[in-house]
Amino acid sequence: MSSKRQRRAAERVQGLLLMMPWLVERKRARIDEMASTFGIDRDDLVDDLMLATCCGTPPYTPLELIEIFVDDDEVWVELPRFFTRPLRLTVAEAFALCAVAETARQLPGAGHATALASAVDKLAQVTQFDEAIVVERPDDPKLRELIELCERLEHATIDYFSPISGKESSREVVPQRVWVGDDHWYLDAFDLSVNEHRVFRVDRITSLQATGRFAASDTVPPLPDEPGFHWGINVEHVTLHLQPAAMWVAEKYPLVSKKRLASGVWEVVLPVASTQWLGRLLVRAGDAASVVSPAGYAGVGSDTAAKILSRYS
Amino acid sequence: MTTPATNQAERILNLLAFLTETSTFLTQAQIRSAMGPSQYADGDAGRATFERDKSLLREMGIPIEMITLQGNQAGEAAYRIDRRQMELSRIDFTDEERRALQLALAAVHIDTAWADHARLKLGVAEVDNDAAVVSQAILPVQSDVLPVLASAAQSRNTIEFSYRGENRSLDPYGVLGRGGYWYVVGHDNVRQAVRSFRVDRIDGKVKVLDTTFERPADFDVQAAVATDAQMLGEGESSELARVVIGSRLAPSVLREFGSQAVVETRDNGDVVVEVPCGNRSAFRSWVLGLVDEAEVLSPPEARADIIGWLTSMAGTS
Repeated sequence: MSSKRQRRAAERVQGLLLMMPWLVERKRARIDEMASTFGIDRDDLVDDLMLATCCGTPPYTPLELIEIFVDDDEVWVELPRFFTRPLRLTVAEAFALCAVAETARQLPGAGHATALASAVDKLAQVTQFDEAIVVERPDDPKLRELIELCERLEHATIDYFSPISGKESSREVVPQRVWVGDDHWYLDAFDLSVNEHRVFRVDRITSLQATGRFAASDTVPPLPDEPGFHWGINVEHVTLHLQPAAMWVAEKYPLVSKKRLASGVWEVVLPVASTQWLGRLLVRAGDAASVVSPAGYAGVGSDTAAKILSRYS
Repeated sequence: MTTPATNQAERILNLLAFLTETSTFLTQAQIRSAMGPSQYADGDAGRATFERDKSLLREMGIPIEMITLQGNQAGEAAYRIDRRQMELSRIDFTDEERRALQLALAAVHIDTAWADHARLKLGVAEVDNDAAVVSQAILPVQSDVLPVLASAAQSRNTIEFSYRGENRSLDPYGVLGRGGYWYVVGHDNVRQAVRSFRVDRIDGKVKVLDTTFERPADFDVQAAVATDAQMLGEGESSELARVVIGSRLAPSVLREFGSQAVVETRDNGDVVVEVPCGNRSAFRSWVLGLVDEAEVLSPPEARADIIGWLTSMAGTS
């Protein structure tokens, strides 16, 4: 048994029922490719394929068993008889597919809108979903221009305001990708002033100007496949105690850990984007959130409150 | 090494292979006898094992049909699997449709394996380089009950669930993904009104009842869930507050509330907006989220509330 953990029978059967039709369609596949396609440990995959070779119908003679052959690098099937077609989509799979299509349909600049719509129409035969799923996306007037800049890798100068640092800055960037998360659009760009990849919230770009200069694709470092906020390994963490009124903090921000204390208070640990970011969070949460550690952050909430209060004096 | 899980996995695959190859309904005894003692022991132990395997296959979504026999086997249950019910029917996508689906699946990042499994079943290949798709979205699912809710909304089945410790009965009209959260919207059978619920706050499982309902024609799921801006006014009073917003944040505030909210534009680009403040805690959270780029001008109670909150936090009096 190669797996570090004992896998349940249902997990192995479900995996094989997903993999077998894929293999039957191709007849032959490299084991490494198959393991990567299905996100399964290579040794576990070989174990499962070997398990399948023992399965079939009575009297379980070789002629009645699944004909799969495995060598060091490859797996192939001959005269497949069982499990040749994929199972119907589960409700969860159908939901996910429809939610993805509904989201993609609204992405600006994605193209293929007509083809996607007719693909979705055909999918309705197997998903059964039509009007039950609605996904809403914000819009921004700068998106189309940004997408065009991304496609051309054209440099742009932007003025960008960050309310948490309270500063506006001008910089030249190479726009690479726009993406929508929570309720906002973001721009992934290579910031030429610091020679690093940066994420900008699109509605905080106060001015956008194409420069007519273009980057060669091999001069801009590639982006990670998945957009998002990628915390560096040196990012600091803060431990907070949250009363029920501040539980929105735990729902809204990515947590490192979360546990309920005997008092009913939640102790959460989360990465700190910046001191200003933490100050904004604490001032909104008020007495319902308190800093446990590190001690250096203990005064951040009151400092932020005092700074805002100065506007009112 | 053979483990109980291996034995069970092998036996389940054998049972599935056997039932998909058999076109007639067979009783449990007939199935166990045909599959042999290497698979199912005689007596109660074998019967119990068969029942466990059957449940597991059903949990995986395998449609095992059951009928109750008549005649000399009256009352006995018999089973079969209709492959047409079990297998995904072929969909003839055009090359363009297949490419559009491929790009959609590359552009939208959903935090479960469900979409990937669907993609593999449909035979849609992955895009070589996801990062080359310049317009993307992150779609968190957050809750395993979401597909159940969407399915009940589609089939018009009443559901029951516990929400923040309270039992609810809902005729779900649809699910809405907004601002990184999912909501289920429908008719609350206890409160006799349309209500929406954050899906990630539903406790435990959702029970789908056989009771069905009619969804009102042209029901608008989006309109039924209050936006953050609308939430500011969800209080006892319909009071409006005047708030001065710094020029740099004015564009994003105007996108939220519309340009009709502006009552004054100052020479330095700052704007004064009029927004609802009936829900005082939501209003406070919104104003403080703008840090020192916003100042409440009126009504005096709303301004005093912010000053009091900040004074208490700042430790000054």
